[in-house]
Amino acid sequence: PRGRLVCTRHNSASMFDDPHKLASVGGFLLLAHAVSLVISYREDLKISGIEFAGVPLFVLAECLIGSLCCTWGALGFSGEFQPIAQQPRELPPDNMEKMHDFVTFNHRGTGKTRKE
Amino acid sequence: MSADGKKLTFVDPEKVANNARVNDTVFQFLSIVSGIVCGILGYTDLKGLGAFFVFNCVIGAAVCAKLKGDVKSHFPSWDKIFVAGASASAGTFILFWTLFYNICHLF
Repeated sequence: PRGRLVCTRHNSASMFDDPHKLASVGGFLLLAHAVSLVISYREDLKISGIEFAGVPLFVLAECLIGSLCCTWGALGFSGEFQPIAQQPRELPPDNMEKMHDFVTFNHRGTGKTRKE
Repeated sequence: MSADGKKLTFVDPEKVANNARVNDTVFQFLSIVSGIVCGILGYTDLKGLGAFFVFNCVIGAAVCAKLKGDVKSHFPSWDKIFVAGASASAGTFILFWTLFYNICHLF
């Protein structure tokens, strides 16, 4: 009947269903935490008057683990590689009659063969 | 066989374009990550440039690992992975490298 409301349910895959996307998000969160650690480390160095020589080991470890998580995630959600070799495909069956390109039936010979 | 006797391989252009798109996506995303890491570690000048090349080699190796070493079946040549990916991601790397270096070490 007209005016009836139809409710459809969309089966959309959310980000939390894909482990690769979750790994990428986790990797970014680790890198964000590493950023905060470096900022606080630099502030401590400024207070103590020591010159910055390099980041601490735990920051390096967080960067490494975050990068690995993001790498695994990117390789998963970016898509699949496909072989580029063209697959042989079947041609359509050649069962059509051989026809000329151009056929005309209204020519001078028609008059000879026409039965009156 | 071609007229000069060379063996011809027929490729599907749609699949070539798909593989190039996937490769670009991987390199773009991981160039963001590598730019952030370089900014956090405080790399400048040639150190950062060297890190860019090292990271791109690692990303290309990761793509080859996903292909299980069978590059010839998925790409016309090796440079379609490394050179195309690095050239597409250079600007993104520099952007995030400078941004996160400024955030972590300057401001």
